[in-house]
Amino acid sequence: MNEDHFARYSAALAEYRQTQAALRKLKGPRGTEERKRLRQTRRDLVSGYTREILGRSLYAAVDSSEALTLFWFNHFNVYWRNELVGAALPDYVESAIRPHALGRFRDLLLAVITHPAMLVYLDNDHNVAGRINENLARELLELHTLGVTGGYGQTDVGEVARVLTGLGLRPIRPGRMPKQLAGMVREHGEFMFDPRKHDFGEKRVLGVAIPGSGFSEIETLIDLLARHPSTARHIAGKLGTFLLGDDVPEAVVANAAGVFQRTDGDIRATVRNIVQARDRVAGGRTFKDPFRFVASAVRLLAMGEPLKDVRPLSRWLAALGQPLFGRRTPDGYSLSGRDWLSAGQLTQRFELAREMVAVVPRLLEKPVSAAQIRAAPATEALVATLGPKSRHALARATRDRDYLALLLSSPEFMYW
Amino acid sequence: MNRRSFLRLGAGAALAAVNWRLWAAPTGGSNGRFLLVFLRGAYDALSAVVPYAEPFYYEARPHIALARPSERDPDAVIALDGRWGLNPALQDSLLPLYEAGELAFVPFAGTAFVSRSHFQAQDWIEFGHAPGTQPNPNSGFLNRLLAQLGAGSGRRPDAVSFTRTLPPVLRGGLPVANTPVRVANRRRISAGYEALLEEMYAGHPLEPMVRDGLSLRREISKELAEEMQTASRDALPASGFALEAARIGRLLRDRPEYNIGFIDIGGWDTHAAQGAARGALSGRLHDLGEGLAELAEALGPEWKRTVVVVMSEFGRTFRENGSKGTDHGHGSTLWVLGGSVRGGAIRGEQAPLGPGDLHQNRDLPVLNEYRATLAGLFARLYGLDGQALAEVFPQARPIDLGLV
Repeated sequence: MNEDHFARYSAALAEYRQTQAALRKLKGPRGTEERKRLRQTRRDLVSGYTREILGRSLYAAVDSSEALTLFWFNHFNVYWRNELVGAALPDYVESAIRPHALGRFRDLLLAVITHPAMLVYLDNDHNVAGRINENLARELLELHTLGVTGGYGQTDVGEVARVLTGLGLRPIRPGRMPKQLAGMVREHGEFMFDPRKHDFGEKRVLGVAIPGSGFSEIETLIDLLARHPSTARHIAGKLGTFLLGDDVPEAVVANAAGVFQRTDGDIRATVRNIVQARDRVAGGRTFKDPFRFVASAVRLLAMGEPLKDVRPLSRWLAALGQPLFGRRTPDGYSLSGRDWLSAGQLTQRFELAREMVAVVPRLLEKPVSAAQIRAAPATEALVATLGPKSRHALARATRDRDYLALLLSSPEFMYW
Repeated sequence: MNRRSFLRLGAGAALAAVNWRLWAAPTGGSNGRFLLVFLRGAYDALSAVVPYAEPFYYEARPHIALARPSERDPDAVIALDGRWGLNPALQDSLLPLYEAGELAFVPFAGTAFVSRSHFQAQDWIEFGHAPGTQPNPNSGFLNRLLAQLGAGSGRRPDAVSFTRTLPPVLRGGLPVANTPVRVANRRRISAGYEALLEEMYAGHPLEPMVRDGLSLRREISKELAEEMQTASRDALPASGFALEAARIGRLLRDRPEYNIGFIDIGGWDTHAAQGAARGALSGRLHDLGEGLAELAEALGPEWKRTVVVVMSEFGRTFRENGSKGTDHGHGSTLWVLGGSVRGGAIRGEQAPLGPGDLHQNRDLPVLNEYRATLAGLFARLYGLDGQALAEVFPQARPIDLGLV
């Protein structure tokens, strides 16, 4: 990602807000028309960005920065149709998540909860002293850090919400800022910590007093949460499932949580620790989530070549229930393969396998035939790992296309 | 212990009103059908069925309360009784069902545990285990219900989920097929190719799932093909939940072996600007109501033996929050509808709703625990005895609210 991209994405949000504010005054059919056009630019921005990310992550290794960027997006999920969130989405991923994907968890957390995408998505731009909205506070504890059994209560949620008051968007029209508060303002792009909206009373979170002081309360809170042992367990558990699959042994998670805590939330060290445990993880394989299924199928059919058009991938992911950037709720998609296994998922994959075999070869710079894919070394190596029943069925396929589609539909191909 | 004495012991005073003649001949018998409509995200029950007689409701919700019943005000609620009123967005779709006695509401409904996490509360509701016990994440209460319906009968009852993934409520020992109904043109798969697919999975643990999936897929394809043909004659709903509900209704009508169905609808988490009689939430309620009316229509004669329950993981705060929305609360309202439902009434226990009456000074209290309420409903609908109900909802004390 080069500097131009960064600038373009951060400008996109500012522009969107300006235009939106200007259009609010525009009445009549022309206003309706212009607002529709604005929503279309937001849609185009997101779909263009989705294509960019799909293209980049198709061949990315599971422990690469690219893959971890998507892991963290899912962990800190936002949904683009929520007005401004769409305009903020590329900037959210590129400026808040990607730079920290293998960095320090605390920095990632602070970047995320001060980004307009998250603040709008979880309503914290409405969270104001005396008029509390606890949406972000609750998900920050439950989903982003401690986990639902991490040892907090409703009182903590309320207190965290008070700490978060004032985190929101820069007002379109600045308004008057009292002199004694002016020095406390924090601004970055469209983000603003507005001391006029902040509750300066003392708070108590997880038994720890946080005196009212302004933005530094948020940093104190983030440190408290990022260093909490429940957070280490929660994050290590999720990374374990993402990197190694279902049923990661307790000892591996505990070990990784220890690394996370000792290194003060060093994500790279935690990831490395889990990946090194790979050989010690025995037992069952994991049902692929739709992303893994589609990516592995496309990689096989594309014979390692990049695609010139990834749009069909978006469609296939949506058909399987996991569109990229398409999760509405803040919990993100399930990482557990088991949660994806269902009769509907299997039959949908059977259908899509046939479509993929027909479509993917046409998405390459140099189109290939089904016969060529069938004869490719990677395909033959995969077929050699199949059980007798699948091989027998493949042998009865009368066309190369059916042969490949059956391969992608085989029980062996459903697991990783 | 026979069924009668179990219930008498289990449900205590609530049983006094049971009509034993009706009990002896349950409405649905083992042929009853149950469809759970799960509203994920916690819908604001107090904006659907509105406690208009409570002055505190208007104090607590200065921006989002719905107006008291009034002939002149189109945004006013429609009185269901002296205390509760229906959101006018549901007037065209649900009021006729209520007036026909086919729809009942159960306010003060919810769980015996308190979780304000959407995801934890949804899981717990779907597993349906006794509070305080460690839930088994691979056993949902509808799968256990299915197992009880099959016990001892020759006919194999079945369940179906109209969702893209199999929800926790239907996970468990019996394979249950799922399919989204919002699918466009499905690709043809020849019988020969299907046979090869089945051959690959023969003897594999996924075999039953593949077989059920392919069979359900054929049914849906047939349903969609018929829909295309009749579309020019019937006025088919254009889109949204109403279209899905109409499809589900027709599929259930044509496949009587589906005793249990499930669908979920998201997007109810109204933390900001939820609106009152008009606005975001009422718009969603309107679509939901239209869908339920379509479903009733499409089920045709099967409506008589179908019970639909609409529920959410919890209710929302009694008071509005700082952004004209509501935060996560506790008690909610169940909707129970069907051709044999004893509706046209607000059912279950109720309590006052003054400033001092709220649960933890913020929520509707729970007086009608959902496991007890559904257990009582299943007893009637399927004629299940106490032992069977205890398998579905361990340690629950079934309450008969006289819903069917």
